[in-house]
Amino acid sequence: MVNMAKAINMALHEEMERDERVVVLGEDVGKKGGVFLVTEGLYEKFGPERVIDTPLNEGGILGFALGMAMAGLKPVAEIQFVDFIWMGADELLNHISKLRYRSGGEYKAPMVVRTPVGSGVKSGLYHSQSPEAVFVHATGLVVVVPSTPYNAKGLLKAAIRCEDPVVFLEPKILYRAPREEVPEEDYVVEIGKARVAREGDDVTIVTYGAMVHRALEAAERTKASVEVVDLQTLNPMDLDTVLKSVSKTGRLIVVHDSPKTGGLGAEVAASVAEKAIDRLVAPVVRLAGPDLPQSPVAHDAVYAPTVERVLKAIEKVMAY
Amino acid sequence: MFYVLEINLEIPRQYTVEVREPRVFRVLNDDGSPGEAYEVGYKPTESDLLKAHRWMVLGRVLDNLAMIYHRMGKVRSTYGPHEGHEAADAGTALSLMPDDWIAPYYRNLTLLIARGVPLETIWAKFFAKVGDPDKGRNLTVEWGGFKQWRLLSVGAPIGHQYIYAAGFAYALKYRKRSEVVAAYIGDGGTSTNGFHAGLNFAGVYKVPVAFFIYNNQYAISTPVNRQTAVRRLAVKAAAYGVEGVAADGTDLLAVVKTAKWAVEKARRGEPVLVEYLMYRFGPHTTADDPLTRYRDPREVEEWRRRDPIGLLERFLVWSGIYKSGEVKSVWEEAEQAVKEAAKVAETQPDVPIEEAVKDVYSFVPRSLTEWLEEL
Repeated sequence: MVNMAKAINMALHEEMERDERVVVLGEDVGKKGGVFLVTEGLYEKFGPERVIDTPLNEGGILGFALGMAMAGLKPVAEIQFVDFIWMGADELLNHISKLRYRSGGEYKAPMVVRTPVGSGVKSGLYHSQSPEAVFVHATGLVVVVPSTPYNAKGLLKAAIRCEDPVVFLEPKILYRAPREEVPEEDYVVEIGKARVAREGDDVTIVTYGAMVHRALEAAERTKASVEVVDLQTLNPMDLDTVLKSVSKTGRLIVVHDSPKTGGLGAEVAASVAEKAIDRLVAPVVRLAGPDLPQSPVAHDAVYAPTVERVLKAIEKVMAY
Repeated sequence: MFYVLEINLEIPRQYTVEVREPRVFRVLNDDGSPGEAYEVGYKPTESDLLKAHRWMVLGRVLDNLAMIYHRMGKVRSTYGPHEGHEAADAGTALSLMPDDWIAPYYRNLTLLIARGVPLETIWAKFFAKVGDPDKGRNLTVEWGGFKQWRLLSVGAPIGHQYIYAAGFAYALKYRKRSEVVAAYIGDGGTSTNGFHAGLNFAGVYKVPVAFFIYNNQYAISTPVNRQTAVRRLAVKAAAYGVEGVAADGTDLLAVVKTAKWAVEKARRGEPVLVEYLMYRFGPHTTADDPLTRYRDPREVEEWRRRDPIGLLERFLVWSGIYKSGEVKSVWEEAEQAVKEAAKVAETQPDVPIEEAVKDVYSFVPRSLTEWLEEL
C-alpha cells in the first residue's frame, strides 16, 4: 500500500530508468528529495547531472527546462508550490505553451511541470493556491490532476511520454493519504480520458483531484444514486464522458477546490448547457471555493467544499 | 524633513565591492584604418570579410525595402528594422561553427542572412504567406520556427531567450555535444528576469553559451541610462561569476575578434558575456517615430560616422581588398537579389485557415474543430 507521494516517486524512478533523456530539476529536489519527498532517492541513483538542484528562480527553472526540451531532453521540472509559479508565468504562459505553435511545429516542448496545489493543510495564501483554470485558459498546455496513488503513477508516466507540455497538479492534501495498492510494473493512465469513479443514476458529480474523495464520501452517505466523474485531465477535457453521464442522470454538480468565478466548474456547466441542456431536469450546481485568496489559515478547513456541502447540493438537485 | 546623522559610519574600502569598468575594445578608426588592436586575437580572412560585407549589404537593403513594403501594406505586420546592427550580426555569425546554435532576439536580420536563410523565405514571412516557416503566425521579426538554420525560437516578450539558451546548452553538454549556443539580447533586455536567470544558471552549471548584448542605446524610447545605473553593461558579468567584455559593435573586426574569443571559451564550458555598443538608426518599429518624440537628429548624425557598413567599406578600400567601384556592384547585386526574392514570395498563396488550428498541441482539440466548422 503506497500513498500518492510514493506513487509519483515510483513513476519518476521508472521513467528515469527507462529513458536517459528524462531529467528532474527544481529547488531542493536533489539531496533533500523535495519538500514533500516526492523526488526521494533519485539523486542517489541518477546523480546530480540528472537530478538538478536549481537556483531559487521559477522563471529560471521553467525557462531552463524549456531549453532542455527543445534540445531533445524530457525535463520534469518541480515548482515547489504552485503559488511560486507566477515568477515563471512568462516562461510557462508565453513560451512553453506557445513554442510549438509559434514555430510552425518545428520545435516542441515535451516537458512536465509538477507542482503541489490546493487548500486544506493550513498553509495560508502562498502555499494553498489552485490555479488550474489559468493553465487551461492559456492554450497550449495539457493540464492533469491525479486523485489517487494509482492514477498519479499512470498519469505521470503518460505525461512524461507526452509530446506536449504537461502541467501536472498534485493535490498536496493527498500526498500522505489515502493509500492503495499500486502495481510495481509499467502502466500508463491515458491523458485526455475521464474516469467514472462510481456509477449512479440520479446525479452526476464532475470533479477532480482531492474533491473526488469528498464526492465519493457524500455518495456513500446519501440515498440518491450518485455517479462520480473524475476528470483526471482538465485540458483536453473528456467531454464525452461528462455528457454521457449527465444524459443518463439529468442532474449535474461540479466540485472543485479553487475560486468559483471563472473556474473549471463554469467551463463544465457551460459545455453541458451548450450540448445537453435538454437532458437536464435540475439547475446545475457549482460547488467551489469562495472567491477569496486561497486560503486564509483561520478558515482553511471550510475553503474547499466539504462533504456536508456536497450532501446539501445533492439534496437540492434531487428536490428540484 | 531630511536628517543626516553626524556620526562616522564609514566602512573601510577593503570591505566594499569594487567593479573595474572595462575599456571598449575597438579596432577600426573612423576613417577605416585599423588601430593597434588590429594585431589582437583572431584575424578574419579576406574571404570572410567579403562574405560579411555582402551579408551586411543584403541586410541593409532588405531592411530598407521592408520598411517601404510595410507602408505599401505588403508587409503584413509591424516591422522592426535592424539598421546599425549589421556588423555585430555578421561578425558574431562568422565566429560560429555551422553546427552551433543561435538564440536570436528580434533585431538580428543580417544574422539570418549569414545563416543562409533564403531571401524568399524571409519575404514569405514578412508577407505572412506560404513559405513562412512560422505559417504566418508571428510578427515579422519574431523568428519562431527557423530550426533548419539552427535558430532557436523567439517571441516578443524578450529576455526568455537567455534562460532557454542556458537550458539548451545544458542539454548539449549532457549529450556530450561540442556545439555552442550564441544568445542575443538588447540593452532593455538586460533588465529582465530572463537575462538574470540565464546568466545565473549558465554560471552555476558552466554551460556552453556566448551571451551577446546589443547595446544600441535605446529600448524603444528609453535610453540605456534609464535602464541601469551601471555605465558598461558588460560589468554585469561579474555578478554571475562569468567573464565580460565590451566591444565596439559597429566595427566588424572588433566584433569578430571578441566573438571568436567568446564562442571558443563557451565551447570549453566557460560562459561569457559580451556587450556590443552600437546605434539603432531606425525607429523601434514601423509604429514608432523617434525624431519627433525622443531623439536629437544631431545624435543620429554623430553615430553615422560609425555606420558599420561604411566603416567596413573604408577598411576594405584602405587595405586594398576592394577597389572603390567594386563596392558599388555589391550594392547593385544586393538590390536585385532582394527585389527578385520579394517577387517570388509575393506570388505564394496565403496560409489556409486549416493551418491555423494545427500545432497548438500534438493533436487538434475538439473546440478547434468546432470553430473551423462554425466559420
